[in-house]
Order: sequence, then C-alpha cells, then structure tokens
Amino acid sequence: MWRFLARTLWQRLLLLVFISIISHAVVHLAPGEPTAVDPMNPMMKAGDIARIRQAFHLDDPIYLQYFHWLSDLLTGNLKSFQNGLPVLPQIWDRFLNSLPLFVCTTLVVWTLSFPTGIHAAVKRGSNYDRATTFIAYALISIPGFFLSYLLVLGVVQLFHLPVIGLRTFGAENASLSVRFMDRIWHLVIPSLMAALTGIAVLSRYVRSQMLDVIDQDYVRTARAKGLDEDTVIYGHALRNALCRS
Amino acid sequence: MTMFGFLLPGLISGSVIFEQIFAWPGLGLLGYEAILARDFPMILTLTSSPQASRCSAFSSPTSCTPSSIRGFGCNEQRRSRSRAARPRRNAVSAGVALLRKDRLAVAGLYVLAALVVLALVGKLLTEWWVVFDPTTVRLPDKLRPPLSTPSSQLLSAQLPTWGIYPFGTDELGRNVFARMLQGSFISLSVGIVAVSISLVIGVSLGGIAGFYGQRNGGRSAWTALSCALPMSCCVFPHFS
Repeated sequence: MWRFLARTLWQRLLLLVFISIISHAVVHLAPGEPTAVDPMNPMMKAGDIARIRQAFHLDDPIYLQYFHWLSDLLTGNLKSFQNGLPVLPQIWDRFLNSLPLFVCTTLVVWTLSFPTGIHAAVKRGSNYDRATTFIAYALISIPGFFLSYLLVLGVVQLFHLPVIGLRTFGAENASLSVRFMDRIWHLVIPSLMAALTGIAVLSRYVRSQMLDVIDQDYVRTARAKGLDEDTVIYGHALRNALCRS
Repeated sequence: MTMFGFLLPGLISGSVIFEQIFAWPGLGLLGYEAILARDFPMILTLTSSPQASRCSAFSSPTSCTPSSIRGFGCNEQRRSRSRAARPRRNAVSAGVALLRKDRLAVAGLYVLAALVVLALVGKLLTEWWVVFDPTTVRLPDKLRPPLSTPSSQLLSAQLPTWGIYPFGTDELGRNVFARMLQGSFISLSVGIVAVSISLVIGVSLGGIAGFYGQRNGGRSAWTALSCALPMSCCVFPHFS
C-alpha cells in the first residue's frame, strides 16, 4: 500500500515537473512579453525597458529563467511582475473566493445530472428521454456566456437577484447571518450558469453508462429474483455503471 | 471516478468566462488579468496549482484514462464484425451508407453545410464584394438594439445596407450583422482546424491504446505512452 502510494506520488510529481516545463516554454516562447504590454507609452524609455528586463531575468536563457521561477516558488518569494506582491498569497485569496462557486457548481451538477441521466436510461425512447436529450445537446451547443447574458436580462428584472460580485457593496457592517445570506444570494446565478453545461455533459454520460449495463444478464437475474425495481436500478445497475468508468 | 477528473479542469479553468460575466473576483479572473498583463510568474504558478489538484484527481491513470478512450475501439470492432457478412465495398460508400442510416448525423451534416455556406458568403460579402461593411464606425449610433433604424445624423456613406441594423450595433456603432458575417469564417476555420487536430491525434492514440492495450497485461510502452499523453493534455488548463 505504502509502496503504491509512493510510486503514484512520484509519477504525479514527475508529470507535474514535465508539464511545468512545457507550460513555461509555451508562456515564454509565445509572442508578447511584459515590457510590450504598453508599447505606446511615452514614459517608457529604452533604459527603463532594459532595467525591467534585467530585474525580471528576461535576458537570461530560457532554462535559467525556469530555474529562477522554480527556486523562487519553492522558497516562497515569487513576486508578480504586475504589482510586485508575492504570488502565492494572491492566488490563495482568489482561491478562497472561487471555492464557494466551485463547491456549489459541483454539488448542483452531481445532484441533478444523476437522477436525470438514470431516469432517461430507464425510460429509454420515451418523451422524457427525447426531451432531455434535446435539452442536453442544446445546453452543450449554446455558448455559456450567451445564455448567461440572456438569463441576466430576465433575472434582474423579475427576481432582483444580484448578478455582480461576491457581496453587496457597503454591507460589511451587517450582522453575520445577513452577510452569510448575502454571500449565498450572490452565489445563486453564477453557480447555476456554470453548472448547466456540466449537468448536460454528465447526464448524457450517466445515461450512456446506464444503458450499457441495463441490458446485462445480471440485471435480468436481479429482476428475476423478485427484487423491487429501485434495488435493481440503484443497487445493481447503477453500481456497475459507476465501476465501468 | 474518471468523469470527476475530466470535469474538474473544466470547472476550475472554465470558470474564466463566468467569473468575467458575473465580476466574481476568483481564480479565473486573476488568470485573465495576469494574461493581459503578461505577468509570467502569476500565469505559470496559476497553471501549475490547478495541475497539482488535477493530477491528484486522476485516481489511477493506467486503468482509467485509456479505458474511456478504448471504448471507441471496442465499438469499432463490434461494428466491423457485423458488417463482415455483407459483400465488401470501398470505405467511402460504406461510410456514406453508415451515415445515411443515422438521421441525426444527416441533419448535423446539413447544419454544417449551411454554416460553411454562410461563412463563405459572409467572407464574400464583407471582404471581396463589400455589401455589408463591418468596419464603418458610426458614433451617433452606438449600441443600437436589433432591427433599429439609423439616426438622421449619419452621412450617406455611413448608412447601413437595407437602411436597418438587423442585429443592432456595437459600442463603436459598427453593424453587428456585418461583423458576424465576417467573423463566422474565422470561427469556423478555427473550429475545423482544432477538430481535425484532435480527431487525428485522438483516433490514432485511441487506436493504439485499444490495439496494444491488452498485450503483456497492459504494460507495453505503447500503452504507457497512450495513457500519459491524454493525461498530460487533460491536466493542462484550457481557459475555455
């Protein structure tokens, strides 16, 4: 067990290093560099650009730049080019903002897509199945931003739901419960919109996996034993459908 | 489960668009700002940190990832076996016959053909034989709704074709209909190139994984390669 864990971790680490090298090369070899963000700025003299390039190690060969980045990252004093602040605390702050959105989206996706997909597989060919197929493909095809803008138009007028930002501006001194509900209220529309595509994809996936197992002999055997339909579907078919993937 | 590993990258890096729309100050917006400012350390660390989480999400690479790719191979085998009884035809007519049986695929083909025609006509009408000019700036007519008529302050050279904005105007008063006609060719060519690349690489990798997968207990170099490549592709953030 421990040997397996160690080997897996080692493989992951190797993959991570490999990918960081590739992404480093992609970022550095792509056209455009930090000094070229604002080329029309008359305040940027050639000497300034040379000083910036030297400070950011941009004149070094690319493998040296990779080692600069890696050593700065490991010692924890990696600074952003943009504002000179340490990178990791900035990312951590933003990650804490993204986490509720991510958790809500995942919860919505996994709670809605499984019942939808299983029901579509059990009632294969029915109107429900055809309707969910159509809606799923429509949701996959329509770009998320377009749907979001349409929804924003309706939602703001009808329900007065907030669609901008994390919290209401100026409500910092409200009581804890009010602030908490405010955060959740702001979370509704973004997480729902981010979840729609996920629901469409995952429900199709669950449906096809269920269809694969639902005609198997052991499902028929389970029915023949006299088990009720719920046990057959959830206890036998769904478990095997999940294992296959 | 594999599916969670596949959805996880989409949820982390796919949030760029939604964080942009809803002004949500999260990781996606941070990455977007960093890319605009060419903030190399921030971009690199951002792309590496979800990679770490994603790497851990793939519970077991050798058993998970190729099996989902190999699925295609299995279907192919089954299909070719059922077809073997019939007299052999060449690949093209067999493919056409297979396509004809699938009404949904035929419908998709018609939609694709319509898109291609639209893109070509759009390129023709906006660049070579300019009927709809996508570049004319009309500052009095900023951000007009669809089907609105131009205001009286425009010069006669600035008037849109048909005397109407079918899809409205953008923040510089350019005709959105003309801009969409022009852009559809670019979008379609990008899509076709991307899909052909993924088709060639995906089919060959899946074929290799399916063909060599069961030999030597799935321990050959080909299996390892065909497992490692899709995994490293999945681990990359795509910022869609």
